[in-house]
Amino acid sequence: MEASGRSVTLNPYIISTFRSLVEAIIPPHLKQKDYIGTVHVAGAQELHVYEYVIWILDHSIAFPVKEQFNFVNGSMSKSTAELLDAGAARLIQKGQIFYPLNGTAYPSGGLFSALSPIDRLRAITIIERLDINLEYLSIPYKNNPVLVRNMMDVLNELPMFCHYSEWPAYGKTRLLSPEYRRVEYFPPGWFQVQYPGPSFGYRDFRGFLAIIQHRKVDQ
Amino acid sequence: MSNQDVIVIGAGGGGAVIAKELGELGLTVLVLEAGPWYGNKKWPNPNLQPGGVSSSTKDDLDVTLYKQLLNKFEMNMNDLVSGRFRWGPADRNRSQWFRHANQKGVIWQCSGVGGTTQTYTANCPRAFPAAIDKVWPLSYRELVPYYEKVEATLPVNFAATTAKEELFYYGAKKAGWNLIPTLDVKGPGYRPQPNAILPPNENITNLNITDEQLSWMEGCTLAGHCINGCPHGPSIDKIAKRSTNVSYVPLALNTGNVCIRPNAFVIEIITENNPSKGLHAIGVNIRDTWTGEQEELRAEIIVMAAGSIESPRLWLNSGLPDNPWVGKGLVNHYMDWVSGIFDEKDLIPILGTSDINPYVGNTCAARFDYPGLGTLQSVGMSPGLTASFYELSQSGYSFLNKPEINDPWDIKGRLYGYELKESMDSYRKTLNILVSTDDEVDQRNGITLDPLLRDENGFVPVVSYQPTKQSRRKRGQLVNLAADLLRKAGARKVIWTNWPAGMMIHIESTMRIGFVVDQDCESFQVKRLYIADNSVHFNSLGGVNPTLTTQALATRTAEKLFKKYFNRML
Repeated sequence: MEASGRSVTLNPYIISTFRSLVEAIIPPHLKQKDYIGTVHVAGAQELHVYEYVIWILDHSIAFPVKEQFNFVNGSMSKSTAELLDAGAARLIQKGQIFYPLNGTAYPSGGLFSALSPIDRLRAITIIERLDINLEYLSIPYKNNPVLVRNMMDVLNELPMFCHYSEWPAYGKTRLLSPEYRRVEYFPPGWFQVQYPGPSFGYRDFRGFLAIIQHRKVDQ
Repeated sequence: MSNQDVIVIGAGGGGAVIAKELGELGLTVLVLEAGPWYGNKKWPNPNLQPGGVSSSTKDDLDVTLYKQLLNKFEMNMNDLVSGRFRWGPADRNRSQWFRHANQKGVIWQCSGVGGTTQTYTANCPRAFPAAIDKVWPLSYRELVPYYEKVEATLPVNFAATTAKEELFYYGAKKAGWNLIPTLDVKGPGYRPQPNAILPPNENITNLNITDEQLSWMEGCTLAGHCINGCPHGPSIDKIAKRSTNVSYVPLALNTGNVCIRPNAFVIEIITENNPSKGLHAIGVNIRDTWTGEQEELRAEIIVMAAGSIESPRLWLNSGLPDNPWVGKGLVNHYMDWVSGIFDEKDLIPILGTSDINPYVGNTCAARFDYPGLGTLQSVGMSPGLTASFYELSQSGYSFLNKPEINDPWDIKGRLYGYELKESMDSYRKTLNILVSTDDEVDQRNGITLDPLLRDENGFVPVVSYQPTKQSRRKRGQLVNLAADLLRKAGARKVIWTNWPAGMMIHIESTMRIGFVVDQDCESFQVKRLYIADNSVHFNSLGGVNPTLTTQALATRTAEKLFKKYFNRML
C-alpha cells in the first residue's frame, strides 16, 4: 500500500490487537501535580497511537518489494497482529501467563489482546527469543527470524515516537498523507513531558569552554 | 549541462564538497541526487510535484521556502517511513526505499540535497591520529591541511555551552578527567564538540530582540532543532547548522560550473574497456524518481558519493569487477545509549536551574574522547526521538534484567510501565549519552545484494553487522565510563538501554582505501571512477563522527583527480 492518503484499516481484529499493544507499552497513569492534585495522564491508546502503528506498518514496504514477497494483497499490520497472537499462544501453552485471559476488553481481538498488559510484553519477549514456530507464521515473517526479532523493537519504538511527537495533534488529518496533515492543537505528549514545542531560540547561553583559532583557507 | 567533465553521484556530506572543489578548479560538474531539494525555488512543493529538472545558480535558493519546509516538527521531519528526512523518493505518497537489515537496529540515512547532513548533528571531530598513522595508507599529517580547509570553510568551532553541556563537563571533571581543548586528540579527556554550527549571534542574550527576529540573524539560536532540521539564519548560505545543502552547495553553485539535479537515482555505472585506458567509467544510467524514465549521461570522470550502503550496491548492481572488499568491512561505531535522571536539588547547585532542558542548545555539544576505546557525547533531542531511543534494546524489557549489586546502572533494557513514566516525566531532567565505539573492521560485515529482491533501482542491499569480541569489550568499557560520568554529575538513576548492534548512524568502511580504492580514492579496478563518501574510510577513525574526515578526503580527492586527469599543475 502506498501512502496515498488512504485511511487506516477498519478491520476490528487488527485495531484491537494494536490498541492492546500500545496500551501495554504506554499505559495511562495518575500523576500528582502541585496545586491541582492527582491528574489523569493519557496513555497511548487514548491518543490513537495504534492508528499510527498500523499506518506505518501498512505503508512501509514499497510495491515492487511486496510483489516479490508474494504479498501484494497482504497487509503488514494483519501479519504482525497474527505474529503477536503466535507469541501469546506460546506463552499460554507454556503455562507462563501471570493473569487470567480476559476476552471482554477487546472482544474483536485475538489471544494477544486477551492477555493482561504485562503478559503482552512477555509474549513479545517470547517472540523476540524466537520461541515460536516460524514455519506457521504469515508472510513476510514466515521463516524470517531476523525480521521477527527486528519487529519487536519496532513495535515498541513506533508507539513511543508517536505518543511523544506531534502526531496525536494532527487530529482529523492524522491519517492523511504527510503533506496534508495539519497540527490542530498542542500535542498532548509534549504537554505531558513539558516540551515547549518548536522554537525560534533559547537564551540559555553559558559561554564557551574553548575556542578554535582558524587558519585562513588559502594558507 | 550535457558535456560535463565530472558526474558526482550524491549531494550529501561528500558529494557536495567534491563538487564545490572541482567547480572552483574550473571543471564542469553535474551532481545527481536521488532525493528532493528543499529550499530551491524550482521545487516549491518538493514532496508533491516533480518541479524543475536541475539548478545551477545560487539565485534559485530561497530561505523563506526553506523555513516553511523545515518546520521543526519531529514526526513530519524525522519519521523514517514518511518524514521529509528519510531514505526514499521525494514523493511522500510513496514508501521509502527498501533495505534488508540482517540484525536489529535502525538505518538512519536521508536522501535529498544535503544527504544525511540535513539531519546530522554537525559534529566535526578529526579522526584520532592513532587510528590513522601507520594504519591508513596515508598519514594523519597528510590529512591535516584538508581538515583545516574544511574546518575553515564550514566553519567548525567548539560548541557553545548550555545547561546540558555544563552538567556533562561537571561530571567528566568529577570523574577525574581533564579538559583537552584540542582538535588533535592523543589522550583521554573531555572537550566541547567541534561542530559545524555557527556560534550564537551576539544578541543571543539581548531580550530586546524577539526570538523570531533572532532566528533571522546569523548564528545559532540554541533552538535545539539540529536533528529536526535547522532553518535559522538570514539566507540559505548563512543557516546556522552547516549541512552541505547550506554550506558547500551554495559555494559550488557560486563557481558557475556546478549543476545539481535532484530526483535522479543512479542505477548503473557505465564502463568501457580499451587498450589505451583499460577498464574505465564513462557514464551513468539514471532513473527519474517521479516519472521512472531512464537516461544515460556521460562524463570524463565519475565520482560515487552515494554513501556506504548505496556506493557498494551501485558497484554490485553495475556488474563491476569482483573485489573481495567491495561492500565488506562495515563499521558503525557499535553505538549504545546511557541516560541519567537527576533531581532538582542536585541540579540547582551545579546549573543554577532546576532543569537540564535537553531540547536547548546544539544537540550534541559536549564530548569525551578516549583513543583506543571511542567516544561519549551528550545528546539532547525532542521528546519523540528521545522516547524511541529508549526502546531499542538487545536485552529486551528492563524487567528481564534486574541489576546486580555492583552494576553501575539502575535499569538495563527497554523501559516499560513505571520506569517509562518516570523517565518521560523526567524528560527535562535527563542527560543522555551516546556511546560510539572504536569498532574493528571485520570482512564478514558489510553490504551484499539480496539475490532475489529488487526494487525500481536494482537488487536491494542487505546490511550485515556483528561486532567483534574486541568491539564488544570496548563498548562495555565505554558504557561503564558513561555511567560513572552521570553518577559523578549527580544522577539519581542511570539507565543503560543496551542498543542492538545494528544502529546504523555512522556507517563507514565498505569500499576501503587501500583495498577498493587507492590512496587518492580512485578505484583500483575501474579507472576514472572515484569515491567520496564514508565508504572509503579504512577503519572507524577511532570511534569519532565520520563526516569531517569524509569532507577532508573529498577535498583532497578533488585535488588529486584534477591533477591526474585534467593535466594542469596545481
